[in-house]
Amino acid sequence: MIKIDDLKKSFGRNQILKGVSIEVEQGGVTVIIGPSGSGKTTLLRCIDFLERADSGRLTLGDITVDLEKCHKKDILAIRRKCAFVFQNYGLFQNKTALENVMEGLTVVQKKSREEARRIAAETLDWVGLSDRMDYYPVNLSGGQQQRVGIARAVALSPDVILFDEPTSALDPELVGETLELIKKVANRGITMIVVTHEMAFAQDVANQVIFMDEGVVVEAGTPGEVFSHPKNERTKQFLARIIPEDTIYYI
Amino acid sequence: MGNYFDFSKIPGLMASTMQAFPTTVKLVVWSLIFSLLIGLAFASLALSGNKVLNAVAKGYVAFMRGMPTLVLIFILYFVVPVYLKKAGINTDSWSKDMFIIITLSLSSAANMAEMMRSSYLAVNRYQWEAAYSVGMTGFDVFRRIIFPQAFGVAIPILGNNIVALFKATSLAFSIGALDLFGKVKLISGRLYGLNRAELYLGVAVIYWVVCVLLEWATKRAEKRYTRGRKALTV
Ligand SMILES: Nc1ncnc2c1ncn2[C@@H]1O[C@H](COP(=O)(O)OP(=O)(O)OP(=O)(O)O)[C@@H](O)[C@H]1O
Ligand SMILES: [Mg+2]
Repeated sequence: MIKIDDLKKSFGRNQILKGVSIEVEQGGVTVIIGPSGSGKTTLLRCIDFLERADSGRLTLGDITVDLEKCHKKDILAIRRKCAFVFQNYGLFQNKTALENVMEGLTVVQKKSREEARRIAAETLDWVGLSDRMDYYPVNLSGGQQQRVGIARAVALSPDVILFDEPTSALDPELVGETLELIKKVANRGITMIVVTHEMAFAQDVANQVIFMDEGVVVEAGTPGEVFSHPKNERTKQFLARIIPEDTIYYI
Repeated sequence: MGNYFDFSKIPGLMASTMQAFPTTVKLVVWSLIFSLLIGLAFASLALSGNKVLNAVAKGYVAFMRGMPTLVLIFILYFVVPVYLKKAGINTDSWSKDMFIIITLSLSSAANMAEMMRSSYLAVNRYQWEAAYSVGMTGFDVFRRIIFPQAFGVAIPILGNNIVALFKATSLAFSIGALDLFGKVKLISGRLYGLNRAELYLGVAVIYWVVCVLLEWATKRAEKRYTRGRKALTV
């Protein structure tokens, strides 16, 4: 389970997150939607301490930390329970696909090279890249790079995987297959928080949808509740803007 | 004058000149080590968030860039010891080689600092985030992800800096140190200026061959450390 309580974050004088609280159940898939600039990326980055929140509390499994005054040790512990899938893939440029997946297994989890290699190869095979293991990121297509990014996250067997718009840098024809793969990850029962603009995916995979706007959670609920019966006026306007009338479907 | 260019003299003169080669190598190696250490210190200052420290590093680099090496040698060899003596430090026992090493270290350190600073910044900041996200410590991120990439960027610059350092050792003769060129001056004096052309051509060839070898080594090292940067041609 992952729980965020009253998280606040400012950049300079701009308060970007104004007290965000969310809760994600074990094995659940939470999709965060919202207009550009509403703070979705910042929220994910605060969870993984890629950005330091100003205040708030974070519970991840058996660890609870005060985000304002937590120490290096806590940060490392949280990061080791989270994995992050980046919009721009974030692969290590000096390492092959296989080495990218192995890196955390050997350096962080202290697994032997043989074991790490076995797990990495299995996971790359699982994402459909068994023939690209020795390629450097520069020699992989965007879709393939994101598969490596997903494999790297999954191989770490984290408590939660954070996805920040994992398909928005991809060519349109690659979006579908990448979403299919993320669905496959969800089916493994891994807890996930996914920021995306792919509403059909949200409807299909999420068991919780969170709508954020201007640094606050405006509405949270099941896909049915949020998409089909939004309570808040801002949610309604947002959905009306991004989902053409005739494609809204009901579960 | 009966003075014509005699190719047959060159090998013998080159052999004599090469007796000073170990001295030149010593000057290069020590200057390289110290310039990397001093450069690392200034690069760290330049990359620290502190404005004052940044200014110190910038000032040092700017000062050394504008300072002719020969002028610096004279200042450090003839002027500074006078003041050090007043401060109670006697430099009489310091060898000429030592002054050359100090000078070259200080001047090359500026180039090394710039090299380290720019190569470090050339690595995309997302590489840090990616590595932090898999749970690595800052030290591991630097050691395994950032440094190898920065090093690949730095290699050609490092190669240039070493070549420049090597060629700058030829200024050592100016205070009477016996590096390659100092040796040439010595031989030339003993021959009363005879075969000067052969002598200079010979030493030029030695410098040139070493520079070519250094460049070749640089290219090889660059290839090895930038494997992830260029598209493969398998
Ligand atoms: N490092 C930063 N420094 C200053 N402002 C920042 C920084 N990072 C983000 N912001 C600001 O925070 C706000 C929220 O950004 P964020 O990236 O979290 O939005 P988002 O909801 O992910 O948007 P999008 O859908 O476009 O990705 C934006 O106004 C952005 O300009
Ligand atoms: Mg974003």
